[in-house]
Amino acid sequence: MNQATDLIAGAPTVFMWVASFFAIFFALIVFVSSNPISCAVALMGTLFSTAALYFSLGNFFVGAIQILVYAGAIAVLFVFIVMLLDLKPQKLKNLPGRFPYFIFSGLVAGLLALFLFRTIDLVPKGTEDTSASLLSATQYAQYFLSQYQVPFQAAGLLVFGAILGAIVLARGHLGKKERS
Amino acid sequence: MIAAGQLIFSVAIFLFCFGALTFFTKRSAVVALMGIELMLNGVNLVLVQAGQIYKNAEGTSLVLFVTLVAAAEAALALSIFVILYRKYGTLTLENFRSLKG
Amino acid sequence: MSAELWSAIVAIALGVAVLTGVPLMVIVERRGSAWMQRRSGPNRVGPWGLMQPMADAIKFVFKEENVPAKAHKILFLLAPALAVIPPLISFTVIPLAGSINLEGVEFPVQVANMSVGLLFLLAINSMHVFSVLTAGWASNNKFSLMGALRASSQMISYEIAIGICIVALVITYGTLDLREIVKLQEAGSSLPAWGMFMQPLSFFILWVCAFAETNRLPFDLPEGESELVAGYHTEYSGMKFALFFMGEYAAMFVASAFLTTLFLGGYNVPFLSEETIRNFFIAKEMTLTMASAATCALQVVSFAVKVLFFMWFYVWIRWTLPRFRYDQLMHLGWKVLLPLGVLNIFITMIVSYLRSV
Repeated sequence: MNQATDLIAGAPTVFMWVASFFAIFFALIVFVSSNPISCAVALMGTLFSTAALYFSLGNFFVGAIQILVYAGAIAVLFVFIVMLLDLKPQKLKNLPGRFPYFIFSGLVAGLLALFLFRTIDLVPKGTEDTSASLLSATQYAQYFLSQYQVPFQAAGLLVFGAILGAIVLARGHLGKKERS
Repeated sequence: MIAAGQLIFSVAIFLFCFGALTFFTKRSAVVALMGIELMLNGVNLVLVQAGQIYKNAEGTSLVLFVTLVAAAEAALALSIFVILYRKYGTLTLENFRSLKG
Repeated sequence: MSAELWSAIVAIALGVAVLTGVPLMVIVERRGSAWMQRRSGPNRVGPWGLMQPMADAIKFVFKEENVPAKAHKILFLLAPALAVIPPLISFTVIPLAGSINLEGVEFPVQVANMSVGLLFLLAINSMHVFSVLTAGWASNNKFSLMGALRASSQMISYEIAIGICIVALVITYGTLDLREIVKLQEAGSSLPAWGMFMQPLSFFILWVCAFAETNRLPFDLPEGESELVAGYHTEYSGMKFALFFMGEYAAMFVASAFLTTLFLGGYNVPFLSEETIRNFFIAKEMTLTMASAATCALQVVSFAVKVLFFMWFYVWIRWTLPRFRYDQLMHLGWKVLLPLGVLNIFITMIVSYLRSV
């Protein structure tokens, strides 16, 4: 794993270029398309491209989790809801007065770029490898159970609360007769 | 020429800005939620890349939590949208203005 | 010979193997089902009907493909492709044989080994749902939509049971790396040290879920021929339907390979470890390269036999059991397999704690 500086300050590989292009392309489709199902499928494409970017950084764990949770569950849920509610393509034009949003986004993007690009110079020249940031699943597990114990338990409680909420929301619309 | 880190940060910024624009300018609630997911993805990408730059595992750990929260939030939000659709027959955000000042 | 070149060679060989395994499964299914039903299947096209899949393929290519009138064109074309791609991707992390020794460097016979291979397989498994949903929606047909919704909810429900069983498996094996898992199942004294003897309940649950995930009988309500016309691929004809077909068989191959790797010892020849076989061949005065190649060949044959056993079982069960009704299916997935999986985790935890003490 001594391609460390290559992954951060070196030139991007072809795979990184392709994945980046697709990520931006699909995000553009989500923004531009007026058909909700196209937006949902394009969201799936973005999530997959982002997972590909994680794989190109050598971080297989996060990439697999991204496909498992985001692309395999959240995007499927979105497609499901669009199909269930039969959302039609919107016929009316978008809200007028969108231009200030573009300006604002451009400013935010510029500021973020300014800050983030500077951190790349923090990589010391030399052959330190990034393997310290690419732990194995066992090491992450030990990390979660020792240093990140509190957020881990809190996340567990959050998911539990979400499950309860989903059950309550699903049963809420049943008539009084059907509740058992 | 552009460095790999700059490319990935640029992609993350694009994702974040497109997500924000989608969230603010779309009429349908479900598509606005997709914008939120895009924003969260941009943040995840920044976290992973920063973890690599600073050479510790905090980036990835935070990404796992963000992913978890995004999943729970998307599921619940979509359930609420289903109930809203059943009650009001529409998900166009312009119609939900009763809380406006 | 660099690692990338070797990976490319293995990938191409694997792709060819899977895509020729599909016609093989077609003929096995038709002749096998005929044999079980006391009739003779297709036996006119070529010797013993072996050219039947070729005839089917030619028929598919020449059939008229019509796109229904208000279908979403891009998604309609995309769905069959989405059915074939995830199974082919899944094969990249499945170990096919031990390592082969070329010019002193050991190359593992696998396309790409990931340290989180099991998680990757689970992740790609959840992509199967997407092609079903897209196909059902894009056909602009009420029956297709019903079939798609049923299929996707069935697949999602059984994925949860798979996830729970994988937790128990990770506790047992201690690693997510598929190559390590297979190495842990090497040799064995009285019984082969296979996973199915360590985790029988997990094996049973995962086997049942494998049927549900690939939409095969007894869980094939989404394609129920007598119920929903043909479910989510009603409107597909010609090559697109052939792609769905191929995707289904490829998914069956992946599920069989998955079960083999986790429970039946993967590529290991029972009772013999890789070292033993290699030394046997070296004792016959072969070079190290030839000995390792012969070992790998033997292991690939062992892997193929196990996968084909599972495939035969798929065919056997299909023509033996009746179909589950939708609510029975959901009851099985949520109320039977999920509690069994959780029980399995408890038992595994207790046993592994007692063993480590």
